[in-house]
Amino acid sequence: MTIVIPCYFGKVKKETNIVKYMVRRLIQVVPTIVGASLVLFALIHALPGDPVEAIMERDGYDLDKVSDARSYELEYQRIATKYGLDKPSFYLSVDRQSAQGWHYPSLTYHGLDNQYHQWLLGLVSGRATVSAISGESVNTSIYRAIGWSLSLAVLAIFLICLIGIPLGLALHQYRLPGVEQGLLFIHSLPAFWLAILLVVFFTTAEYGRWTDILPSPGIWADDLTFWQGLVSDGKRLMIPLLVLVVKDLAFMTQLVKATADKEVTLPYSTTARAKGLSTSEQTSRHILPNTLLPITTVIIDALPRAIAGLLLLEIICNIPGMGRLLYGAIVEQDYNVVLHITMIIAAITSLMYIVGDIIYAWINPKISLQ
Amino acid sequence: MSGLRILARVAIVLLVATAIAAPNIAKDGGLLNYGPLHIDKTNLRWQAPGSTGDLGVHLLGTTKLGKDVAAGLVYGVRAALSISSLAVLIALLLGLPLGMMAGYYGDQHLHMVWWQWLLGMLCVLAALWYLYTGIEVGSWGDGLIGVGLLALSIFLMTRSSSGRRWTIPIDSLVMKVVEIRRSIPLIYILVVAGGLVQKHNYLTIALIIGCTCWTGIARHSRAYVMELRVASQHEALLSLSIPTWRIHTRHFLPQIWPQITVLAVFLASTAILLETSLSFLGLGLPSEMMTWGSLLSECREQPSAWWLAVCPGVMLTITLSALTVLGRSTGSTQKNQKVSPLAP
Repeated sequence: MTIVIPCYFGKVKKETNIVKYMVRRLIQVVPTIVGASLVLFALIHALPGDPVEAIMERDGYDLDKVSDARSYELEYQRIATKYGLDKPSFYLSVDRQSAQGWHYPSLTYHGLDNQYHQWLLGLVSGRATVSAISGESVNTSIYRAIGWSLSLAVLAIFLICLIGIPLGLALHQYRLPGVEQGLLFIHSLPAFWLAILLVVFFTTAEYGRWTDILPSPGIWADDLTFWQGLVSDGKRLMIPLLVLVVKDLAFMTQLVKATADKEVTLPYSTTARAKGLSTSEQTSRHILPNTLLPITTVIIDALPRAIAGLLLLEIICNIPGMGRLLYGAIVEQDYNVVLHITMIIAAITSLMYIVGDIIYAWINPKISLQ
Repeated sequence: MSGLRILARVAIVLLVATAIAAPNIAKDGGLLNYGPLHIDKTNLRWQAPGSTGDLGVHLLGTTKLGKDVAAGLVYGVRAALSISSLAVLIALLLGLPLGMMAGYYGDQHLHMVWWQWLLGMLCVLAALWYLYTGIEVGSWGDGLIGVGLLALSIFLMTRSSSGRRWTIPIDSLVMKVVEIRRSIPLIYILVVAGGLVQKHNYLTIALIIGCTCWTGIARHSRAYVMELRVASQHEALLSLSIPTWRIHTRHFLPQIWPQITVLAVFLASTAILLETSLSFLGLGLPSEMMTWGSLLSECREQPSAWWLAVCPGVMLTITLSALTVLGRSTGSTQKNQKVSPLAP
């Protein structure tokens, strides 16, 4: 018979140096990010649509009424040179040649003076890329937006833990009829539909006085800093926060309950009861610490998930976060911003996976960093 | 079989039937009184369910342009189911071969004569270029050249010949691609791709979703095949000198197929959710085709049009829940009778 000891006796010696491990993982992230940027860049430049004409239209140049071909040419050249759009887009280019009805590819090498290289240099050196449409520095707008997205996501995860862990333990001890089913039902609804329902039914007095309980999504003042915005419009974060928390609460409570149900059958729990602890003491002192391990994996996964889920919620509730910034850039064909945002999201997600692995190994000595 | 499972199956059958019979159910003067393209000028600007128009009662109200919501829902079933099944098919076609190859060969076991590998890869690249050109220019000749080059590359790479052999780290290559895809959340990639694609139709949307969702299938099939590879069954098959492709198609694929089906069912529900999100953002199917997502997006303009918020969402939830129940029940019945990987 084998004895399972889920508590940690003594310290397990770890062979791997954590700094070495982190450095190695960070180096591994670089090709991933570069690969992602290559794919995105290829996608953006392979598709039709002229960014120069988009800028000219923004500047009030009416493309439908081009009377003077010469001045159009000059203006086009000026804009293209100003934003570096006259350069080749990549180191290599594949062009379609045709001869006698046959198509064949031809490969050209353009050297280092191309758009991708410049963009990459700008990203590495931290030089500000200017949004082609709004004329604002991309770094500024991303810096403003990321605060909203990250703070919403972190706050949601904090609230999920704060409510989910006690609720899961309560469900483990007392059978609360309906609570579990209700949470699972909400979990099965698509998050963005939940947000739409809240916005439609609970932000106006259309359906009776009592339904006007949540703040309606409105237009945010653009010139406020993060903290000023939080003070003046912070209550508008309620709907996305509510949706994020309610949606993932079922997951957390189920996990805590299932782990606690399993832990209570193990011999160490019996020992705890045998030495005279009450049920609540047994739960808080012995079972709770052991449920924390699966919870950490959920929390680590939760941040990228929350940021992904926020995209639609931000658009529905008009929160000026990363998701809405990306959506606006896509609609306006502002590809500098699109590239930057996706790269930052990719970096955050990859870093979260690394941090997750480290935290997981740090908590659970049975797993070694390799 | 529990009641829930029967209910889920009935729901799926009904949805598929609705999708197939959509042109018969929702046509002008049909069962629902209106077709999806009929613009009822007497009922413009969000009329509530039950209001009478020029062809009869609008069962679930109208949209801003006076289109019938019920007809839109029926056609939405069609869009959701066809796009998601196409996307799952594409994901399977991409994910299964790549995942199985990565799991089978690992990093050390794929040896290829160097010129065969290089020529084959060149052929694959050229084939992709010709296929892209064929689609863009709209010429069948270029498409055929692409298919021919693809066949040539397969012929080249599977032919045995002598020469210096390279070890291809196929596992690392595939897993790197998977990692690149996983570094950006799915919805962000879809929004970018949906905004960049010029033609929005069933095929392009399914391609976007399928080409981004195959990684899950690849990861799982890789893990299953890695397990099967070290089993004694594989040794027995090798000793009978059965060719590799036959091991995969006749012996490995049937064994991992039950798990892959479960994955495919869950992937289908993800694809439906993604399709709805895309058309909600106006980046999916063109706006004159009514889908669940585009109907949902209309209620942002007019909060008092509750039928636009409720009806498509209910349809979406029913579909997703039915698929989830179906996937879970398939998974749990198969777990009991799962063939051991060690069984011959």
